Amino acid sequence: MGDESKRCYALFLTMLPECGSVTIRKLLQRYGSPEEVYLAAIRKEPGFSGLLGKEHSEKVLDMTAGADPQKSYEEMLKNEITMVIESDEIYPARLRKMEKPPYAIFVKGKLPEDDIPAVAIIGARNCSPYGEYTAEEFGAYLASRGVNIISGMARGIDGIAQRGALRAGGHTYAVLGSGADVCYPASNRDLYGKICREGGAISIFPPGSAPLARNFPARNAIVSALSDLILVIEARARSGTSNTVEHALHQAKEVYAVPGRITDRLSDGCNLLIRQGAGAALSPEDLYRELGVLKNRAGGGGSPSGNDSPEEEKRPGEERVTGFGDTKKGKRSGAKIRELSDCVTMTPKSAEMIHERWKKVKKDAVFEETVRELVLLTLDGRILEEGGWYYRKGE
Amino acid sequence: MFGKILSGSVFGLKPYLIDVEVDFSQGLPCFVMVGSLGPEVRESAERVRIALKNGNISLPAVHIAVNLSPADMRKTGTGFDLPIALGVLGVMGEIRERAADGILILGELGLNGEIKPVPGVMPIVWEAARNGVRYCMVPYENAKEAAVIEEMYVIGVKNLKEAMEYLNSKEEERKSIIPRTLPGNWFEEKERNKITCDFIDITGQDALKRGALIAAAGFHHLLIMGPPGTGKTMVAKRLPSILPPLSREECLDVTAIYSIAGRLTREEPVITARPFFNPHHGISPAALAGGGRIPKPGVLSLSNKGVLFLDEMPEFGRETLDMLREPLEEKQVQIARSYGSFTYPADIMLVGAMNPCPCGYYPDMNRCRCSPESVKRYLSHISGPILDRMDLCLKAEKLRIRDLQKGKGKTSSAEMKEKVMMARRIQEERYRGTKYTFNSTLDVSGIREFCRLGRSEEALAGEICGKLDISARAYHRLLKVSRTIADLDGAVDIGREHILEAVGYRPALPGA
Repeated sequence: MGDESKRCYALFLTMLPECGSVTIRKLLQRYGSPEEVYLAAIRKEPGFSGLLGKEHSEKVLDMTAGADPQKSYEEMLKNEITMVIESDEIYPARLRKMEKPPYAIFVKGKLPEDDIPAVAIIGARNCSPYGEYTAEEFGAYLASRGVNIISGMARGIDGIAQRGALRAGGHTYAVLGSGADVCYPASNRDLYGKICREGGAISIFPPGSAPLARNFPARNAIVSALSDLILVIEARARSGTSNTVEHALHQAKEVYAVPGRITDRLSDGCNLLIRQGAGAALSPEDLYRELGVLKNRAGGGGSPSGNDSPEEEKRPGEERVTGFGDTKKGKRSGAKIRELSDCVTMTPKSAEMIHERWKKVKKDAVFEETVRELVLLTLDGRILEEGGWYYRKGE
Repeated sequence: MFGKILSGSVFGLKPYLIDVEVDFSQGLPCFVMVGSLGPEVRESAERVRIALKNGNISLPAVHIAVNLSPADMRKTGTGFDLPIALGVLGVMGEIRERAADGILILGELGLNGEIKPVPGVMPIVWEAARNGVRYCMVPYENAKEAAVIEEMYVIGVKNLKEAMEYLNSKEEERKSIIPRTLPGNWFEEKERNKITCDFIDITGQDALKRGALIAAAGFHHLLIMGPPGTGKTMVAKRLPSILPPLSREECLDVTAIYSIAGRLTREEPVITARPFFNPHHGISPAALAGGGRIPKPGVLSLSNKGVLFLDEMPEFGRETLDMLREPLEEKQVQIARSYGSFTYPADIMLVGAMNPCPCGYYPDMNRCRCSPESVKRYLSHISGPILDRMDLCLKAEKLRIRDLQKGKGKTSSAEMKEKVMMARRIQEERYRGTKYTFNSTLDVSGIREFCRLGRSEEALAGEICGKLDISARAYHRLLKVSRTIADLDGAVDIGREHILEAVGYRPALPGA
């Protein structure tokens, strides 16, 4: 991909109708380089319908006939948008860890640095004053400590948190569901401009793409992937936020939520998350400390405040708690295992694995006894079970 | 001029006796065969003619008619060659009159007159014995297999000449020409306790061993779930070593199916060990259930009374897995053809092994890279049709190298088998005079009778059902497994501890 003049064909690939990164990879595998794909499409190679199906390939070939990659690419550069392809060195390392990394991303501004901690702050579009206040506080505090704030620049929490970050003089990055040159919602035009200067507007959709509803789940996955920790400020029980949280859990990101009053429907989603084991974000300082613990444990560089984090214990790799945040991990792992229930952690474990741990304490432990005890603990509600795996919600 | 020889054949898995009638009459010289013959039976005429010619016997120039009766039953197989040849020789006067009376005759002829083995000998001989026949002449290669039926006097013949010589000699001399093939000592203990794979090879994995023990004791279906390389397959392969041995009747049933499938050898003419099959996941539904115009028994029937092990279960075709539903419930396979339906036995212990998700590491989110949709899609093959019918579900875990290096495990197959046998004896005692054999065979009324709970246990079961969302079907399975655990404990009644343990093994899938 070294040849600058060939990059327009990579852009062309991302513009193909209904072609995601999987399809693009398929095409590349078949034809070699983006340019070859383009030339093949111009020639109307019959191979396309084999690869994509008849209807889809017709759409692709129709689009190709009217496309001018060179012109589109120049237009993109004129709009000051950079295209970063998977094979480029500056492609964010966090995205590489995704199950299906996007083939290319478009940036107006900068990309978040790989070695600087990043927190996604997300939440409802229609938020309460409480949400507005906390979003701004968290955004500003974290950004002032050098944390990159990632969000979707949506109305409500997203935008407010990013405004907070900018107010504190920090960096924030917006992941858009439209092209990187399309400001959506229009009411955030001022914010969009600032983000492009102080951080970056990022999109996996080619420039000019409209903010279609179907784009947003993929956008959410990128928000989560670019972050080390997801903070939910305010969300209803069933909302778009839960989609981002779902992605976060599957990408093994820490999830924190700001607790709210149980009578507030706008806090239902957050409270529910906490009940399910997400960490409770009690104050920006508290969360910042947690982020430090997190970074230290992962052994990653760029720790914001490794020193003032609570006492850290060495934990074996398998012990690393992921999924739902465990606010008291440091303490818990240090605690002595006195009874079987101490062997159950927040990571789901099978009876066999718990038994193996238990055997280290109680040498003569028998498997059937362990199973019985686990079932009893489950019935008592002291631990939880799903699909034969046992775990606990936080302490 | 008319002669008759007793022979037999199998239709599907059902053996039946057939009269081979031969008649010579005036007319254009020819060799006509009638009686709903399959192609290989019709070709018999040519083999017989040439085998006789090469034995220096030429057929007379007459109209030779052979009828296989009952004429309306479809005949298959090559076992009619020898009886047809001997029938023809009888009418020609080459064999003395009535010499073959009361002898069941089976065998395929080579063009040089040698007699070749045929499938299905054992069940046909068995059927003949039930009908009062006491003598049988079968290919030498099949003699040991036929001799499993102890009341039968088995004559194993190698070629046509030998068979003629035997039949033409006097009763008292016959023994010196071909001695009787004696029944082997197949059912003796020592012969049957050969262990090839031992549980002692498995380090740790207490869960899998416990699960295997319970499954073997009650003949329960077992699902093993765990990341790749955790010994799922190892455990499954060792299951036969701890299963209770086949009873004599079961041996005969299993051997009959193997005989028809042509899977018996002269070295192993009787199946005494419980069958173990692990078909590849590419297996077609027909190969699993049985197929063909007249269906041949499939892997399900070959595993009858034994273990059918499906490794990487979600990789099996959906259709293939769906096929398993009825057999698991009814313990038999029904195959419908336009001219009738066939029922083959399929009393199997299903052992499945699978990863919890496509990559295998769920729920370890540090390593699992699967999206929730892909996990759902992966498990959808199993969740509906199969999971409901599994009794036990065990989770396997990867061993740490440290533990592996410690060497052998603590429990051997022999020890485990002892426990299984104890539980087996308790079950035999309890189910004497009923239609049940193992705890897993209990139906609802059987569960009501034999899995009765005390008041405290009843309350516990109620609590469990309420809190853990257990369906009625799952509850019944739970009770059956509890019964087996109690039997392993030597307990008369199912106790709280047995129920609690059984709950720990109940089949469940992540996110299901």
